[in-house]
Amino acid sequence: MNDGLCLLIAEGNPSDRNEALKALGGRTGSECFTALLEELAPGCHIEVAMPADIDAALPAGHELGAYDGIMISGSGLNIPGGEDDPRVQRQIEFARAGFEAGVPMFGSCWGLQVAAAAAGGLVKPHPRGSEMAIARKISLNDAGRGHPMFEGKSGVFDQPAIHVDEVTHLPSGATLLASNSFCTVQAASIAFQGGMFWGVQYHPEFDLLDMAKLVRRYATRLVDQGFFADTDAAEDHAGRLSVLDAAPERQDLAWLLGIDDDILDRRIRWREIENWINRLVRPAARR
Amino acid sequence: MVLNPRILVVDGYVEAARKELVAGGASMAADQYVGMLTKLNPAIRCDVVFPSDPGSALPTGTELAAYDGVAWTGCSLTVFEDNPEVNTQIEFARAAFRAGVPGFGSCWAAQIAVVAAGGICRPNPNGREMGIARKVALTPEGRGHPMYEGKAGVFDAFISHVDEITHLPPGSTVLAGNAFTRVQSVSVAWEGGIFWGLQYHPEYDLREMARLTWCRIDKLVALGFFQDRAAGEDYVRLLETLHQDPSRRDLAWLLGVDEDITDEDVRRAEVRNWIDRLIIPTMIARGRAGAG
Repeated sequence: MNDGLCLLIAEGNPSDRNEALKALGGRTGSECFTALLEELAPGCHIEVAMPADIDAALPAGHELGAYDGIMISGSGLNIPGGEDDPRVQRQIEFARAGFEAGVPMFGSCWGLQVAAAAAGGLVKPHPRGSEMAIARKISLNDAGRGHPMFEGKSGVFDQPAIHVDEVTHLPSGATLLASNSFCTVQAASIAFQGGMFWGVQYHPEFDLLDMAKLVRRYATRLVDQGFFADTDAAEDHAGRLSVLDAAPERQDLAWLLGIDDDILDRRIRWREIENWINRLVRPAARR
Repeated sequence: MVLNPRILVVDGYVEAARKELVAGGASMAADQYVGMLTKLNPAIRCDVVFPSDPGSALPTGTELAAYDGVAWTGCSLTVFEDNPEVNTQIEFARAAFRAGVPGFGSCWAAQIAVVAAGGICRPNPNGREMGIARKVALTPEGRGHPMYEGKAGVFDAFISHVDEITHLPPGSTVLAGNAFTRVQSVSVAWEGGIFWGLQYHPEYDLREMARLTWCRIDKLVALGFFQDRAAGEDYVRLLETLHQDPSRRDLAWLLGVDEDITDEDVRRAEVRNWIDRLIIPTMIARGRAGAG
């Protein structure tokens, strides 16, 4: 359906941080979002803003109303300890402006954390460290089962994930929608100042190849954190993910790694974003 | 009050199948069950029967009623095949129901209980579910059921099966399911008796799963679980390494397993609850406290 949607993607990383990923052939968060929007909302007009680049121009608050939706991508930045970091504070201000402009918003990982912080919630380092590669056994709660973001989604699912911080306190206008045993706030909707945000702690926009590249990029850190015995094991794992990405029929690898269609079928993985477009963005754009 | 539950452990494997598993380094199903039950409650006294053995005698009448529970292991037979080994066990499940002796069991056992009470099992159209049943979710009835007290609403569990419960008899309740198998656990009430059955295997640990996999490697290669025998042997080694060294969090993470699989207390909550919530209250109700 080409209904002329105009969407703004706010890239969570500063440009310099994206260079290392690009050097590995990886996709930035905004590139991942752009790719899935071309399939889920063909013909939509997409603009990318770089709020973490402190000298980059941003649409002013009164200009945000021209957009039908705003998406905030993941980021390697951290809200805890970022009180005096303009790259962090600028994004929180931007999310607040998005709420005040009443433009439907979606965010994954950092995007959820920024929106929660903008609306008065708290973000802290996770006491158990990183949730890496796959967030497993995410369960919808009663509110989640009835929420339009999860229409057509199974009540329990896996999703790609990589994060060290988590939302510990949702703002008062928020509703928790999904959790797993590692992280309570895996998905939430946040109503604030007349605006509405739907967000997830995981990364529906990542495919297995994106995950393989993240494993390669952070291999040394992941060895230090105990995810791999050594960097060879990390490379082996990145190799398995790449093979499975290129050959989804390799059911032996999917079975070994405990990966099913929740991850392998992009239309299942993207369902939350598809629902955001069809159930929040489009109805608001038609008004 | 003395409470020494007497449990009859029913191991339905035919002798050749038992020998094959033991030769491959696995423990006999009956031994796994006796070990699990007596570890959970050292006061339990177990007798073991092998109903598929020619000439084996199953208890009847007052001899059967003298048990406080019947615990059934898994089995490599097929419940909807009409042969003497299967029919004997279906009839024995009916007798245990009628005697009011609480039943419990894994895999084949859940299927036996369902068929005994009038339900139906068939080959699972998804094929073999092997290794780990992922994302098993409690139904609303499961969330409120005593068998799942203290269990998470979603969990993983050891599994190995090709058949599944397709039709439940009246009086049965589905307690858990996942995307592969709709009935992962069931409570069956029939003719005055109660049976709690799991499609998965709380009695296994990583080592038993490894040895069972080793015994089935060629079959699993043919089914596409492994590219070749070497890949199967690598997997067996992976499970055994993690079993010997539970601190290898890297291996647990690679396999996507957590405490649901590696922590025996979490894995066996259903069995512990069967003892504490069904066996012991039934003993008291039947006036069998002190009978030990």
